[in-house]
Amino acid sequence: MENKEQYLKLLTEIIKKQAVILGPDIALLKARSISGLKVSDDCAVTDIAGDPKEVIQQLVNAYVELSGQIVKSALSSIFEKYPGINKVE
Amino acid sequence: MPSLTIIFSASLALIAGLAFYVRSRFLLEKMSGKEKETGRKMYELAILKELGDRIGYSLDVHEIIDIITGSLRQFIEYSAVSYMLIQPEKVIFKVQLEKSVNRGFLNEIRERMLGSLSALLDKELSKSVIEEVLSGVILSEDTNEPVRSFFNIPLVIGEKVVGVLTVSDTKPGLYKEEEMTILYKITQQASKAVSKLQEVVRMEQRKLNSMVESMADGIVMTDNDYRVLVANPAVKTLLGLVSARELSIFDIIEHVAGKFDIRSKLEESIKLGKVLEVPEVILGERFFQIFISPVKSTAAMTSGETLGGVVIFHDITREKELDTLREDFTSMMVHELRSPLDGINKIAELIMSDRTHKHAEKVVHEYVPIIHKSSSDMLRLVSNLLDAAKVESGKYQIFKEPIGDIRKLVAERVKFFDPSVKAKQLVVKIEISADAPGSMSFDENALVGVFNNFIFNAIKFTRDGGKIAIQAFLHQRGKDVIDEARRNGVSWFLKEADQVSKDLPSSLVVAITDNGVGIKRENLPLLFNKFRQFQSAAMSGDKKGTGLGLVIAKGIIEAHGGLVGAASEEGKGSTFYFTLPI
Amino acid sequence: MRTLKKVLVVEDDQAFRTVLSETLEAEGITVFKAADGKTGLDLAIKEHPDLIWVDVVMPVLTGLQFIKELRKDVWGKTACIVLLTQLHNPTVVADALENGVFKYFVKADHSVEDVIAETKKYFASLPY
Repeated sequence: MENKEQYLKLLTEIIKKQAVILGPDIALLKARSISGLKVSDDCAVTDIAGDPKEVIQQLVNAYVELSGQIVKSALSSIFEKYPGINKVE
Repeated sequence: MPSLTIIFSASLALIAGLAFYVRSRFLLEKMSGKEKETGRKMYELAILKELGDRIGYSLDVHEIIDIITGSLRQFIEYSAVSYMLIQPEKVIFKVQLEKSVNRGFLNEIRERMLGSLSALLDKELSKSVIEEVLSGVILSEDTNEPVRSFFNIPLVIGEKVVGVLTVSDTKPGLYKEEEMTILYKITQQASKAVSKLQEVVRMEQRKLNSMVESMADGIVMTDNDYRVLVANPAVKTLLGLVSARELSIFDIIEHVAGKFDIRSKLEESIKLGKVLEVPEVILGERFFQIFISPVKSTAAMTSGETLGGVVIFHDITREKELDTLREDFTSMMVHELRSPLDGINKIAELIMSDRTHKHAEKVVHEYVPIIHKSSSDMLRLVSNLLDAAKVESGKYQIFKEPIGDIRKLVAERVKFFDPSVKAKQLVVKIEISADAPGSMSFDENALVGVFNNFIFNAIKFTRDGGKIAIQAFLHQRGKDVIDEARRNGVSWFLKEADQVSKDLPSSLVVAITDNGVGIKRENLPLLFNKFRQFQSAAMSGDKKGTGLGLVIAKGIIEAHGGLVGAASEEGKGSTFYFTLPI
Repeated sequence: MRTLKKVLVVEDDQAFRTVLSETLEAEGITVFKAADGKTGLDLAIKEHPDLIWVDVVMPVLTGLQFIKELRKDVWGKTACIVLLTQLHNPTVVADALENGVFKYFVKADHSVEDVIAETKKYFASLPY
């Protein structure tokens, strides 16, 4: 996939921010529950498989499931830094 | 303050549920994966139901949070449970310690929580003023364990982040995904419930506010210390205080001083616990009826408690004016009837007495005509009063003959007034549009009365040599009357601004326009008012009219299903019009 | 003792005006008549009648206005005025009395003879 680096960076940022917001344990647990994501113990995304858009969507959904729509506002600043990548729903 | 209450009520419910959960974990471990999943779902449902049952309405956040954190320890293991609430000027940070930790542990929790909030809000909060409250086990520097397990639950009400709740411990990996997830989910549900409740409260408040704002009566609400809580625009206007700044009780006291003792009335009302009324107070140039009532709480906890008082200023100037008019009307009526009757009586006395020349001639030529005139005046007055009364009580009956020729009627009426018209050298023109129906259904006798009245007035109020025009045209429903008039060559005083009903059904519009003295703008609204017209007619010593003609005309036309109206330009002339639905 | 020689009747009600003036004329008193306040005022100032009967409700100038206007005149200040009314309106009567009217009658309550007799009695008792 094109921009794999970008996706890895984006996903890492998301998870790291959620680690701060929710706590590293739960943030990591939820991230690892997404198939297609390989996450290291320090919340860095090392690999991504499948459609990256799907993966991002699933990850965000997992966090939204926990703490609600507020997740999206919290993550919007991150998405702004990656204009090439379409924002998730 | 948003209600974390409910979140925490919910959490309490959660805790209760978790208790089952935790205690039964052994059982769960033994079940298969699928059964475990089902088990979990069941617990979730049970907790959600408890949540629904337990939703409280108290908005005292702290109280509820304390209750929750107090019970938490029975169901989940932790060193500390803490919460942060964002307030306008500070952040409240409360910690309940279950196990002894050192200052370092506490600081770390604090940093984590602030970090969480900062990340959530994308705002730097580390510099905020933090009010710290500790409870439970005391801090001890003997232990030196750092934070190893923790999770933060954001608290969101009404789509705003209001704080965060954190459970933490020194042991690593203590919290499992399932239990953490359930806690998050339920917290979310609770937040939604609270947000909804808040929205309902806000909506009701808004409704109430706009109601109070738009009320014509002046409303002032005070608390038990006479501080003004609510003062709607109406009260500001009637007190002549149009400044935008907040009204204080002293402003009000000052403005009603000498006429209304608002403070002692409030005191009395609250003390007696009942509504008081001051029937008539004059403020400025208007009359007011003032109500004072205590305001009592109906909320469950504080029911019956007095929250303050409310004062309502109700403007009764109009009613008083009408009362005065009515009294004047009655006395005028008496006067108008007594005068001619007395006249007849005295003339009769004269004829019967010995003191005057009893020449038959004088009796026949002078006295009898006077008797005739007086009795005629009285008859006319009584008839008019009767008609007006019938109109008013809706009992005026018209009998619509099926085939009526409006053109013939108008021609006849104009001819009837020929002598007066000639006497004043007036020019009368009749213009009835070609599309006006040749045959209409109306009560001819009644309409004769209407035309008589309108034409008579036009003649009376037009100077010698003036012009009167009687014009009629057809109006189609939905079209603009002003436009249609113009197209039919009708020149009258009605303008766009005059409110001829927008929904006027298809009708014949008849207008009688003169170029006489016109009518003063302030007299227009009461033109068809029985009291006002009678008064001015009587006062002008005008024996020919009782002023009731217009009122009766209105009744007749309305009985036909039409409208009457008038428009005028002072000094230029007037138009009186009526419509007859076809 | 003063007697009435010439009087002024300011009354718009033709019936009452006729009866009053006819009865007075039958006694040999000169009667000037006016059907409205303005005409009455002009006549009063011109003829200086011994007594003026004036009605309250009249066109052009009401009875009260007539009285006030008359009082502005040098002779008018001391004119002898009796008020006639059909309505017993306390405000009007009080106002008139304040302006030097020395008697008032509610027309329907008295016969014309009565009005004349009573008026004469009071007139006769005046000092000047």
